[in-house]
Amino acid sequence: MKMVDPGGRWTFQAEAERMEAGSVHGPYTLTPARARYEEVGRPPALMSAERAQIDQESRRVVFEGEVRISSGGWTLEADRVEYDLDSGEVVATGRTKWTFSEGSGGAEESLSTDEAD
Amino acid sequence: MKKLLALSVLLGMVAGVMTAGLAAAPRQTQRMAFRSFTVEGASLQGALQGPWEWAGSVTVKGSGLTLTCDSLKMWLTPDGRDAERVEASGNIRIAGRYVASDKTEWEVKGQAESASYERKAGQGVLKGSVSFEARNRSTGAVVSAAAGKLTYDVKSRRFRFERGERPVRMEWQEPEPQAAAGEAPAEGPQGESAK
Repeated sequence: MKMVDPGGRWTFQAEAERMEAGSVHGPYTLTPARARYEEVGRPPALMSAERAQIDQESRRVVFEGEVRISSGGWTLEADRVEYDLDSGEVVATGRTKWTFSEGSGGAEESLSTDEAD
Repeated sequence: MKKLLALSVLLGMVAGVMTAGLAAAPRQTQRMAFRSFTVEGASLQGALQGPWEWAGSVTVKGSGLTLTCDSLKMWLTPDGRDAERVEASGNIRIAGRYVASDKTEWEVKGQAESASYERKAGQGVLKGSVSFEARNRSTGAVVSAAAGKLTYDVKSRRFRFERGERPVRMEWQEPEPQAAAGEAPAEGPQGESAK
């Protein structure tokens, strides 16, 4: 699935082996989930987790279980991460580990589902 | 002379640990010991582009050194590949092994109330009841220092100890006399201390 900011600031794409939703309006639960977030002028961020719940209306994503987010030279691992697509705010809880590696490749991978919605 | 050498090595270690522990090596300035580091804390929040804020028993690890503090805030460069600014506060503790520029190995431990690093300024600062102790792993010599503030300039490798109206305190403890230790001086960072 793909979400685009009406203001054109960011793009969020996610893919999963399985996707469930209570209604067409969501929220959508993806298991396991991989996602890519791109914001104008910023390095892309790759996200993966055992499960992701995507709420299109509030534009919030909750990742749970073996969450891993990487961008630029850093990687965040956590049990649970709440992410606000509009503000870019991240709240990580449970076990959290943030690693910075100079010269690391960062999030340069791409998702296979770039057109799916 | 030996004391001066030891002091020089100590100051280099203090500055190295502080800046290395808090930030990745600035590419256009001095190379630091940490090429990568890990931060763990009870809670973490921020934005993908930063700043990131950790709170509750924060631990920074890398290159054999560990820094712990109550809270840590880090601003990233726009490309996310470097730390622009880092602020650590509350119960700063630094411990671990440090290899000085002359290849001597030291067991170090230190503490302060706050620490900060700024990439553009190329400076790391420890503030508030700064104390530091280093033990030479080969000779057993111990050197310690106490001050109110320590500033390290990454480019020039110069440092400044300050303690307001009170003098900066330095101590040097020789190990029990054994075989004559090597006297060859090593190139340590150039230092200055101010009261």
